[in-house]
Amino acid sequence: MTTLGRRAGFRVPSEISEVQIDVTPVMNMFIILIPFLVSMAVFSHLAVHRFSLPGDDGPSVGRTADELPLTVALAVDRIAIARGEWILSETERTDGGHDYAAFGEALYAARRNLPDVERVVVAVDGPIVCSDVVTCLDRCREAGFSDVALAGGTNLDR
Amino acid sequence: MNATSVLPIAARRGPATPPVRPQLTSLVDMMTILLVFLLKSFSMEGNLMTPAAGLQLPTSTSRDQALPETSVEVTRSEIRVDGRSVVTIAASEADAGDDVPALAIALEGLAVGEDAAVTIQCDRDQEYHLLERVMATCSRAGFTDFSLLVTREEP
Repeated sequence: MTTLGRRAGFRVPSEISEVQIDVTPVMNMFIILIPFLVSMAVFSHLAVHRFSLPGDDGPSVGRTADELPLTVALAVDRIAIARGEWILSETERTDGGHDYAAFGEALYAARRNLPDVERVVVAVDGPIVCSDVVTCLDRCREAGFSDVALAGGTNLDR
Repeated sequence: MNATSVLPIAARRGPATPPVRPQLTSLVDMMTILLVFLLKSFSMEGNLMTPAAGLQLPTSTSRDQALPETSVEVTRSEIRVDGRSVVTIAASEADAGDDVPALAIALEGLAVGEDAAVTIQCDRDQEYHLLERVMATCSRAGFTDFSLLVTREEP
């Protein structure tokens, strides 16, 4: 009776040698790929807000009620939505700043009630910073207004 | 007669040293992580516009692509046109008018065509009053399409 180890032609290796993986081709690929990806990487994405300037004749001169655009008056203490001389809604400022969520809802409601109005004019009153204006523009776009105009100087104390 | 002198030359040199193989495993691990991260940031079109130094753009949910146009940059300290300094903020606020005269001079001849477009880069904390004067100046220089450059808000 012979054991496996003693079968002719079969030798059990006394030690298993370590397998060495050659990673040189992988490194070659990385050396090419990574500088290419670094050159094409974009870490902060830019976008634009396209807008127009309202005409010099003012929002209500020579226009019928149906032609009047919606006006968003952005002031330090509140944001008002108006059409012509009628103020449709006002959102008061809170301790944490302007309540843009409530303003957005009011704008959605105005859009639903006035489906034919595509144009909104954002009028800024007082020391407002650009980031607040941009947030206001965002809400106008999200409400569905395709034509947004930026103006300056409005009188909310009527 | 020395016993070593009759040995072949290769034997006299001693056993051959094995070639030195640097350990690349950890380097490959690092490269793999870098690769995964850069693939996430990869963008075929890239950014066609570069935000100016000296200002922090406001964030927005807008997704409109920025196009390479005439650029007016309103930083914290100065106003620039296509990277060239035009006037300081302090000097511009000293003017009482509703436009910026130095900017108007710098914009002369840049508004080409009927739909001349300008991209305005404004620092997020800059007052809107100055931006309004810059827009009025650009409008009088002949620009009709306005874009405000913002940083896209990531969801």
